[in-house]
Amino acid sequence: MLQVRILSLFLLYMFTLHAESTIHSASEFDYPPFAIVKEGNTADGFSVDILKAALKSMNHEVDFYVAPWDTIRKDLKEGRIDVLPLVGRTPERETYFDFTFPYLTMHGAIFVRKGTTDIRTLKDLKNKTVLVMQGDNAEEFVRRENVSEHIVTTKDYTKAFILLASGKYDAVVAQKLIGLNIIKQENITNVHSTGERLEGFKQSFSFAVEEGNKELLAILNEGLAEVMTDGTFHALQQKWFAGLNPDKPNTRYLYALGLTILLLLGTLFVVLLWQRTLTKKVDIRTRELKASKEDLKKSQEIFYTLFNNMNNGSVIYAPIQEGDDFIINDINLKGEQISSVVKNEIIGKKVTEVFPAIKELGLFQIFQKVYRNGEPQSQDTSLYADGRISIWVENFVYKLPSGDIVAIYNDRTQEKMAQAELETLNKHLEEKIEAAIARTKEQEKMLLQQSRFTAMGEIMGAIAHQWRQPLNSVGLIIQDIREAYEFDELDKEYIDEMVAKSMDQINALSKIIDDFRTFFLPNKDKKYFNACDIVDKAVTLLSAQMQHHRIEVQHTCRDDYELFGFPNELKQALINIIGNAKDAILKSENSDHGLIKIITYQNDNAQCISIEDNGGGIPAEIMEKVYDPYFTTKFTSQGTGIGLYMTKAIIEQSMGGMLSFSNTDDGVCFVLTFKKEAVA
Amino acid sequence: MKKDHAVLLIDNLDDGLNSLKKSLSRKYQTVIMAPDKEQALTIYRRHSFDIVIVALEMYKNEGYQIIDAINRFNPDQRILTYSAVPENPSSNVSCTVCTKSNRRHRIRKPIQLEDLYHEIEHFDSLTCREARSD
Repeated sequence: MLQVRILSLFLLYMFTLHAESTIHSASEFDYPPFAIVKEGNTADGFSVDILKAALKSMNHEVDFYVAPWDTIRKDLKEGRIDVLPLVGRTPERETYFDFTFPYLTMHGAIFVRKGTTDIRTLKDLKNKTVLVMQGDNAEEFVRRENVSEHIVTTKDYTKAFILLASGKYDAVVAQKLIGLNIIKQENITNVHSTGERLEGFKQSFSFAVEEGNKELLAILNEGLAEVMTDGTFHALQQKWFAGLNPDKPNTRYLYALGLTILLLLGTLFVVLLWQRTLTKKVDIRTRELKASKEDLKKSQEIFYTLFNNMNNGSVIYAPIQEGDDFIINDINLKGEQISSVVKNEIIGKKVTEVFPAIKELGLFQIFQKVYRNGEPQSQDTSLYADGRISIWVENFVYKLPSGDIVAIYNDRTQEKMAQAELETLNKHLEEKIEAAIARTKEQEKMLLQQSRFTAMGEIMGAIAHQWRQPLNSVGLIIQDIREAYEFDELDKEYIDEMVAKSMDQINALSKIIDDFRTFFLPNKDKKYFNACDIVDKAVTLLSAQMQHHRIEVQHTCRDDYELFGFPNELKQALINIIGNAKDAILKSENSDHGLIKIITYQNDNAQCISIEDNGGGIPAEIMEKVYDPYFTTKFTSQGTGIGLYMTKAIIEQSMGGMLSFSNTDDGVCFVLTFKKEAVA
Repeated sequence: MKKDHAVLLIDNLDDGLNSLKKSLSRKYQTVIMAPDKEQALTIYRRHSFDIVIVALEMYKNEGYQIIDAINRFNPDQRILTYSAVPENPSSNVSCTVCTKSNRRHRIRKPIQLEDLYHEIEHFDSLTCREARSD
């Protein structure tokens, strides 16, 4: 306040120096009680007095002349006078006037003739004839608010009220205080205010100076403040408004006003508090947004780092025309590499333009499908070829929340080529394996054949033994017949006896033939057979040979059981093992008393045939080779080396059994084992 | 007229053997037949035989055992063996039988009676090499 006062004094000093003449003002003709004309055409009225008092308090004189409102307003605007005492502040006037603070605020009112019942509010004036003073704020108000289509202006308000009182026109719109003053002065008894307070027609009155005249404005504000605080203002109010019913708020109004102010202050406090809270929230939110923005930036950096460093090709497509086509939005480094494209050259282009064969690939249709249903979809490795590039690719397509489509793809060309090469190799390998298998089968067939020839050799030897016995008997019988004849012993009875004996031998020969023939006929189908019988038959076939070599063959049928398989092949296997035992015995120190013990037995789990000899056993160094084909310890004339190989094949492959051996004290024992469930 | 020879024929009994015994009996004074090792050795210990005829392929290899037993009892005993096996002359069995003693010869089935008679009657003049043992 002190600073304002110092500044005002300084301005006053400056003004006094430059404006030595009296301040010029003007007043309108008839705006009672604010502006009136006294005798001698001098200005008077409340506003004139206030201006005089304000300038006087600031040690200034002022003179007035009287003219219509339009005139004096124009004079101030054009600088012919310095100040006007009573100017309502409007936005239009602010463009060319500067105003002091208002010293009086008034509200407008509607005046009608007493007894008028259809006019109470502004709305009721719609089709009525309304009187206002020309150029007054009231005219601006009624026209701005379009209160009525029938607005009539008068030079001053006195005339307007007289016209209304005389029964012409329907209403007057004016400042309430002005209207009441005129009614009193003119003694108009049939006009009164409707009581409606026109809130839109509130007018604050100030002193007005030419725009930019800050020095005078400061003096006026200072002076006005003085008169309002030193009692002058109150005194002038009493002078000019006494007896009127000025628009002075009553107690109830003041109470309401105070309450309103309190409410406004409370509201203001709440608003300020809310504003402060809001400001804090805004600050917090701003920080959060800033942090989010930084996070977003980091996320984007991470995304682009991942995007560009991922080992898959990746392209982002933006759909156009509802997914009828797609524009390339982005592509990563691997994608450029796989697709042999340059990012800057393809961004913004249609996918069908960059990859013209994408529809033939079927990928374009997948794009559309994913775009429409939002479901991710993959495409198995397929060939993309458009004349520019030819690659095998595997795609995975999904839709982003933004609606863009992402295709992640891998180059499978190398794998495909390797696969093709592998398939070729496999094909060749299969052919080689098939050829090898065929050769092996052929070799096995040959081995089997050789084995059979070997066995046949053994059997032929056995046949020789078996046959010579009955042949010898027949020969002796025949020779005996001749001698019996020579010794005259021959008669019918003798001949019949000899014939019968001869036939027995001949039948025995025939049986031998049948036995051996059966031996060489391999069984076509598996069947059940008695194990002891087969062992006996094998032993019988070899018995003559064994006896000749002084080798005793003992067969003990401890358990009489049946096996399921090929009996003749088993017989061949037994002959092989027994024959090997015989050869071993003949080379050993036990050659004079060779012994081969065969036991047919079974236990809980298996049925077995053991063949044990006293031929010295198998040397440790050749144990692992005894089953190898063409491995033999015999003279070439004696062995082919396939006997045990074929024996093992017969036992384990044809019969489903197992062949094993182990050395004993003075020989070796081979065991043929057949699991019970395997032979059941 | 039967010749004064005593012959022990050892072989498993069969019809052909009976015929052989009949033939030998017509030719020689004494022909005794033994079907196994036990009877053969029992008979051999009680009698003296000019020649013993043994079948090599007897049951349980008794033919060889009989030869061994007779050799231990009388190494000079003339023994004639026969076999159904076409034995290789270089084989152990053949050589052993033939070379260990000149008192043993071997013939092969089927037995030719004339050959058998010749072997029996000229046994001492035969050498191993001349023996008809293949």
